[in-house]
Amino acid sequence: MTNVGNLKQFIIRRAISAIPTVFFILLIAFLATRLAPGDPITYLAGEHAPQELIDELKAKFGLDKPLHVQFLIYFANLFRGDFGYSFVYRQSVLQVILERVPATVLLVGTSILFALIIGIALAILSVRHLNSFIDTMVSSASMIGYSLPVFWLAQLLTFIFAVKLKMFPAGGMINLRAQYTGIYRVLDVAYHLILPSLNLGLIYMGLISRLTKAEMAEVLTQDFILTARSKGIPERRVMKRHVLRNALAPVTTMTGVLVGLMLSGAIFTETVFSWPGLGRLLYDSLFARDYPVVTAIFTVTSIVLIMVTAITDILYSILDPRIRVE
Amino acid sequence: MTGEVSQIGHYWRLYRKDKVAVIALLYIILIILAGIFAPVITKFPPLLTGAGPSFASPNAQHFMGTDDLGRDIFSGVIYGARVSMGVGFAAAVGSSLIGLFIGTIAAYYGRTYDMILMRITEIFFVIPMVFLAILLVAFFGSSVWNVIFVIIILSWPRTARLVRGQVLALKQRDFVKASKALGERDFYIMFREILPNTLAPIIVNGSIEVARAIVVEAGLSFLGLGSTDLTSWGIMLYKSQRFLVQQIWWTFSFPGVALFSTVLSLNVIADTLNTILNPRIRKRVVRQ
Repeated sequence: MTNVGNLKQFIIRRAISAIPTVFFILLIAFLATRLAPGDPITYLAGEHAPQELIDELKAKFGLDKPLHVQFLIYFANLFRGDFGYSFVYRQSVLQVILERVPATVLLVGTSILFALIIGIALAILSVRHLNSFIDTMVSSASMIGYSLPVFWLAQLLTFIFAVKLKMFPAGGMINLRAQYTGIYRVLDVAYHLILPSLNLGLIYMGLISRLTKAEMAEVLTQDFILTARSKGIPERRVMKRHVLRNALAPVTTMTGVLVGLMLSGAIFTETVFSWPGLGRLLYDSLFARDYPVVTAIFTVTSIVLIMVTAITDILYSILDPRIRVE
Repeated sequence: MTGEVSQIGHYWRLYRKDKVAVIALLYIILIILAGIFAPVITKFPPLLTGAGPSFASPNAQHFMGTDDLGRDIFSGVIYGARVSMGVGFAAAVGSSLIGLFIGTIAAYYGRTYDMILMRITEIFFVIPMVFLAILLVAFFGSSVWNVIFVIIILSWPRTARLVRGQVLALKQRDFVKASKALGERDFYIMFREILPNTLAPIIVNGSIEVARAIVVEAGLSFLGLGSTDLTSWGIMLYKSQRFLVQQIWWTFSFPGVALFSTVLSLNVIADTLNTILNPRIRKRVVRQ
């Protein structure tokens, strides 16, 4: 079979294997609203819904019908992009969520870049000086990094850099008092982004440097490194061309997991820094008992993550064709 | 029996060499003792309002100051150890036991059992655990038991997968084949012959699970999903959020240091155990 045909087949197989997971996610979300103590209508309408909406929703979701019929109705609604109505925001849930997506993408994207660049740099540094003082320092720093609860680090950063030193704003995404436009607006957002992305990035930097270092150390023991060195190739080149390149492939598979971790972390970062993304929305919705939004955030982020994981698997199979043959 | 004891002694001698790991272990023991003897250590009940003036900074009466309602922070930190340690260990033990049982059965019998387990664990690896925990606790209530239950549900697949890998390898070994040839029952082989050989990675994994459960519990509390009739480090951090801008540093620092140092110590212990118990496995993919 040709290499391309092989890849196509892998992509199809991988996409199909994501279907049960999506189904499972929807089932959990459905069962949570139906089995939780109290009236399911609370979880479908939120706690502040007026009676007319409640009656309308009862009919719409077929709450008097058997459970499996209710699930089909629920499924059909989601399929049409109907995630329900948030009475708190007086908007459709999907609209409420979509408005918050850009802020979260910006925050998570910046944090991942930051964590990847610094994390991989630290891993290289520590592999080049294996078992030295630097290596120990880097390992200890990563251990501290991923042991720090993200919400506490957020409070610490806010207190030190925003409250005490007044170097950065304590929260928000833009300066509401100054109505900046154009490039100044971009800079304003960037200025507000520094502390939150530092917060998220620092936590997962440790994880990345640890994983990359482990992979690199593993590659270093391989015969082809010995060959490269014995051929007299400079150490810097060996590291770059042979070690790092081979170590990075497995690290890419971590990206899916990393996006998941970052999104989870973003709930806390956004909560502390009042960053107007999905995480802050989740926090506010929990507080307002706006359950339709809570459920929808869970479903949407889970499905996004399933897609990200599938895409990274496919990318990995392009980088390393061996894994296509199971 | 004496063999096992001397083996533990052997591991302990290796563990003792790592001074940081010894300090971490002593610290965890200290935190556990502090939780157990909380009423002896501090004279203020943790939820007692007006134990001191509002927002008193750390002083001789209140080592760690007081919060907005005059509750003693030191009492909160000490009593908070009960919740964190309780949830951490209960969740880790629960998920390890379930993971051990299901992982062993799936690997030993293989085929359909194994396929079902692998599909389930794959699903759990993709679902963001924190989001699901929030959903379940928000809907089903935030009592400590619910939190423990939710963490167990979300973390057993990791252990099961780990055990599965171990059992699959051990299944091929001669001592298992010999037992089978001797006509031993499956359950005897699984839980008396194979299982003891998988304990090392389970212990390492268990200590990571304790740390993870503590963070998840604190995180849920931080989002306001903690049980209000208890004091936990996460709840204290949640409540202190509003006072950050007022430059009140003691309400968030002390519970935060307690949480961070506990999690760090558990991770250090896990890391050291990992290098001692399986010297060949140098890397470990930490998933959340």
